[in-house]
Formats: sequence, C-alpha cells, structure tokens
Amino acid sequence: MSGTTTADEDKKPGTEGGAHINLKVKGQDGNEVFFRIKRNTQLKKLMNAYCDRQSVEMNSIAFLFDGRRLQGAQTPDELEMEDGDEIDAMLHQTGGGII
Amino acid sequence: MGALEINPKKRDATPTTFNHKLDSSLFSETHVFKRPKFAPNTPDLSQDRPVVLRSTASRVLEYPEKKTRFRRPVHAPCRARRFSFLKGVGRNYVNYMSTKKEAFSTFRFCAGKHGLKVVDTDEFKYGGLEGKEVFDVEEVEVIDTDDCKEVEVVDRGKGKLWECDEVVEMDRDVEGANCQPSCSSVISDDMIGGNLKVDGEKSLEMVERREELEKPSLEKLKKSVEKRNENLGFIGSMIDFCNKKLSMLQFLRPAKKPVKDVDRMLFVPLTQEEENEVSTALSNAKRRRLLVTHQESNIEITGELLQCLKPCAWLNDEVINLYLVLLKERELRDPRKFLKCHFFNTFFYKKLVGGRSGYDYKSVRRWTTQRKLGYCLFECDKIFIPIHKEIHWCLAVINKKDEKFQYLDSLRGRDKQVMAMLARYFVDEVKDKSGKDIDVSSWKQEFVEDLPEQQNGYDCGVFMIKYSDFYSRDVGLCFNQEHMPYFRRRTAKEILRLKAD
Repeated sequence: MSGTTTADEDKKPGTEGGAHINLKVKGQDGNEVFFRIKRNTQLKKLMNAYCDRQSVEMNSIAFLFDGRRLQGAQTPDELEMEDGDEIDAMLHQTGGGII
Repeated sequence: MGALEINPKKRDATPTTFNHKLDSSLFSETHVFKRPKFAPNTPDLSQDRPVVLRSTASRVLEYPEKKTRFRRPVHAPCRARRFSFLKGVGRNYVNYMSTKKEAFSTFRFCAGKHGLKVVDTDEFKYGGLEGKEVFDVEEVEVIDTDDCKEVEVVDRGKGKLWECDEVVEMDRDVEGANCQPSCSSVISDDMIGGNLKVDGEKSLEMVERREELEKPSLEKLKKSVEKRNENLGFIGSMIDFCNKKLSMLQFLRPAKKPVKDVDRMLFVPLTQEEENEVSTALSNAKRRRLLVTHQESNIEITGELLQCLKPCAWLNDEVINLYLVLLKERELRDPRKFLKCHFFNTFFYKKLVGGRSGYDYKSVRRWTTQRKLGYCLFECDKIFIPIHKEIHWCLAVINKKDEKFQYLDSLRGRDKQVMAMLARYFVDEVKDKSGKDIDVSSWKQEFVEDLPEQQNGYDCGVFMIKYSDFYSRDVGLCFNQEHMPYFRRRTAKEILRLKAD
C-alpha cells in the first residue's frame, strides 16, 4: 500500500490530462465520503457539500490535507492533489482541564 | 507710701501706749527715714502730711523729684540698689543694734521666761536721732534661749516697714554680715570686688576640676574606642573571610547567567501599546472579525477564536496550532538560540491512534515528508506532540536529544498508551523515511513530575503551549500558575503579530 502511494507522489500532477479528480474525505470516526470535483474548483464546494451531508457546522470542522489546514479558496491543482487523495475532516478541539 | 498707709492702720489695730504718745514731729522724722525706698526725702513733706489722705493721682503729681540722698555711685541697677540698701541699712542697723542693746538691757530682768513676747514701749524713749528707725518696730518678738546672751531677734516691724521681698533678702544679708554691721559703701564695693575675685578664682578652679573630672572619662572613652577598634578589626577580617568564601562558592556554582538572560526573555512584560492591542482584539466588538491569517499554515484567527485567550477560557486547537507554528518559525529565524524541533498539530495524535486497530501510521505517513517539512523529522532534537484528551490538553515529547519519551500533564495525569504509540510511531517513521531500523526500547519513558502544575480547570492549554515553549528553548519549566494570565496576553500578542519571541 505504502509503495503505491509513493508511486503516486512521484507522478507529476500537471501531466495528467483529466479535468476531474476523485477525493476522499475521511471523518474522525473513520467514515469516508467520496467526491469528484474539477481540479480548478475551489475546495469550498467540497467542504460545504461534506458539512451539508454530515449535518455539521462548517466552522466546527477542520479540513486537513497531509496534516495541513485547507482553505476554501484553495484548489486541488494548487495543492498538487492526485486522484484518490484523502482529506481529513477533523472536529475542532478545545480543552481546559477537568471540571 | 504703702508703708505710710499701713503703719497708721497698724497703729490703730495694735493699741499701744506708744501710739498715743506719738507726736507729729516724731512721725515726720520717721517718715523721712523711710523715704529712700519710695521717694527722696523732702523737708516740706512733713508739712504736706495731709496729702497722704488724698487721691493717688494727685499725690503722684505732687511727688518731688528724686534726689539721691545717698553718697554712692549708681552701679548696675539691681546690685547697686541692693548694696545701697545695705549701706543705708547698715547705718540703720547700727541704730537698730544700739536700740536692741537697750532693749536687751531692759529684758534682762525678765530673761528667765521662755518665748516671752514683749512690746517694749520704752524703746521709743530713745527716739530722737537714734530712734528714727526704731519707731516702726512695733512688735519685737524676743525669744530668749535659756539665759543665753545671744538672743535671736526677729524684727517683724521691719518687714512691715519695707513691705517688699527685697527687704527680706536685705535682712538676710544683714544677718550674714553680722560680723561687719557698720559696713560702709567702700567696704561693700570692696566686697563686690572680692566677690568677683572669688568668682573668678572659683571659675578657674571649676575649669581645673572639670579637667580632672574629664580625665577618667576620656580614658574610658579611649578604652572603649580601642575595644571597638578590636571589634571592627575582627568584623573586617570576618567580612574578608566571607567574601572569599562567597567567591569560592560562586566559582563552584554552575554558571547560571545564560539562564538569567533567557529568564528576561521569558517574562518580558507587554508594552502599553501591546496591551492595548490585545485588549482591543479580545473585545467583543472584534468577535466576528478576522484578525489574522497565517498564510503558510492556512490558519485564520477570528476574534471569536482568539477569545479563548481571555482569562478562564479554554484554549482551542486553532490558537494552539498557530502558536506552535510560530514557535517553529521562531526557531528557523534564530536556530542557534533554540533546539531543532518539530511541532505536530493537535490533530496528529488523533489521526495516529484513529482507525480500527488504534494505531494508524498510514494516515500520518505523508504528514512528514521532507518535501513538505523542509527538514527531516528524525533529525530534530525534540518532537512535540499535543495530546488532546476530550477536554484536556497534554504534551508528549519525543526527546531524541536525551533519548526519551516524555509526557507532561499539568494535572499530573499519566498515559502509558501515549508513550507506547509514540515509540511505535517513531520507529515506523524512521524506517519509512530513512529505511533504518532503530531500537527505542532503551529509551526512557518519563512522566515529568517536576513541572508547573495547573491550579484550576481552564489553564491546561496555556500550560501545554508553555511546556513546548520552554522545552524548545531547552530551559527548565520555571513558571507557575501565577504566570498564566501574563502568558495568555503574551500569546495573544504573539498571535496577533504572527511572531513568537
């Protein structure tokens, strides 16, 4: 598995001719939601669709790609995303101690 | 004049045969004799005798000019007067003594009785010139002391005659000068001189005596000074000894100066401008406003998010993650001052332990590629992993420098699973990125016990980021609960400026 991912990494995204890309959004509970969007579409669309589907507030979720925060204005092309890449949808955290 | 007034009264009050015998000439003469006290004698005063009965004002006007009857130079007012009296009295005294002798001669006959009080009317038979003064002696109290010739005579009449305190003093003087009853003005002058001389001698003697008295006290002082000098010398030597000891101890002490410098950096107070900036940013007016955006990490901080840095608020992941990014930037800015560190975000551990098996390296494998980080993870001295436990923030550290896994909980919690997961992750990570197998079984797993502890239910996030801050500086955790309000405001400032110091 790790080997195939490494192979994916090595690919040059710009060389791919496809206008669409398949992305997987993985929730904190392990549920996965698949999206197919254009490479130059802002990820905002994907995020909104995910939140609508999960019935959660947009600002309660942090979307991460390889550990980095995603902004709605970013596109898969900017982030050099590849087909099948995974996006993490994490719930925001807060804490102060024991009540 | 008062005497003149009183005397007639006295005459009335004490009916004596003498009073009835009194003729005007005698009265006038005695009156003349009293003049020195109040006014100079004038021959025509006897003629103006009725004046006495007039009003005081008219009498004052009728006073003749004072003519000094006594042949004496006027000295200093007080003294001269005193002696002038003495002079006059001296003469009077002679008369008085003569009359007294006469009186004694009469008393001889009844000397056997004690405390005899006699009003001698015969005394005034000797009136004339001699009895001038004696006229006023109305009562002579003679206390005979058992046939002794020395009879103490208390002249009450005189006191009444002069009606003045000075008179009493004069009497004393007279008594004191009994040896020289007929002292003249010259003698008195001499006496004054003598007195002065005596005074001078006395003063000289006094000086000598003072010196004599001072000598032992000076010696005493000298002795005490010597003693003190000894003490001072001893104290001085003690001071030298202590200084040497101190320098020795300081020499043996490990150098702490750099830590002090760091200390200054750790607790730099916010300037007024910064305080104002923080206060504005934390106000409710800014709640919906986007305050800062960190481009590299894509973290946006709104007023609402930043309000977690208000006192008593729980810290959220956004603020913590941004702060940790800023710590990394700080290190890149000045690599010599800080350890080479990597700060995972708050989601890392959740992802790592997510999945069905409870350990999912695959999900975080791509987080740490060299292309993404810009550096190799396992080259770092310390790797900081924030641990989020439902409502609590802790910190785990992969301390490659000291080859140990550390766990810091401001509530002193312990989680062995975290240690195990991190150990496993580190081995997998090294193997994945470099292909090497490393053994971390020898690495110590340390639950840090000597750490600042949280005293409330809301500051654990601040403790956690400050553990990271201090550990990345490689300094001890020299802060406590009291610093938390300051750290909150300082963190807010650093986030607003997007620069950690």
